[in-house]
Amino acid sequence: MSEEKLLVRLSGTAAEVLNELVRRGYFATKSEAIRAGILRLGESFGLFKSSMYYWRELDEEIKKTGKKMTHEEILEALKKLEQEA
Amino acid sequence: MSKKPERAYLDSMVFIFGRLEECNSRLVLFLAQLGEFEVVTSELVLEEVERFFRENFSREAGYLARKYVEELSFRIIKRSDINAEKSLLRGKIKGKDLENVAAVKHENLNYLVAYDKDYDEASVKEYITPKDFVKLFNLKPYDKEY
Repeated sequence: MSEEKLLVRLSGTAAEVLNELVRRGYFATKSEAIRAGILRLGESFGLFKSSMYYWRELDEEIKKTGKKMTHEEILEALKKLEQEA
Repeated sequence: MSKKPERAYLDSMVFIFGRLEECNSRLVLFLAQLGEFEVVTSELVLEEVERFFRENFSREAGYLARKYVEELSFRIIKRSDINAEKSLLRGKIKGKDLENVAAVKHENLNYLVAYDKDYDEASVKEYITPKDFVKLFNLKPYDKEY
């Protein structure tokens, strides 16, 4: 996993928005808000796909197969998975 | 008020039940998606989740499930990193659970979220059910444990 450490100077609207995001409790820290912002930017420019994207796609794919598993079937399949591990 | 967990290891069953049923495992995944805590998993979890969806739904479902786990995880523990922990635990933990517990010990995590009585029987102190984990975030859980 790559890592970047950087010092960001913000002023004006960017600084105000950042402070407000933390003040309203959307993010616990400014660093967290900046991290989330970068990911959103990356997602909107098509650089990567978020977990939410795959969550929705998986749901669509499951529906497409038309298969529904009962609770017992899931348990059975999980047991099989563990035995084969 | 109890302190909210910052990191937790999620067992394969959390991803599987969380995607397929309205349950506490789903709440755990939503909390992770909201960034309420960091998800730690392992190569074993990646493989198991992929295989489950591939074998029970489709090859594409397997791929998407794997990508979902990868994107949600802050860290995925490699098998080669936990050999020492596995050696120490061998004989104390059932083979099927060994890699999960070894990964939890390796990362010094306080929570192993799963629903498996074998962890209880082996007195794995980090073990917590999805229901109890959700409670740590002051959410009202579903009645079912998983």
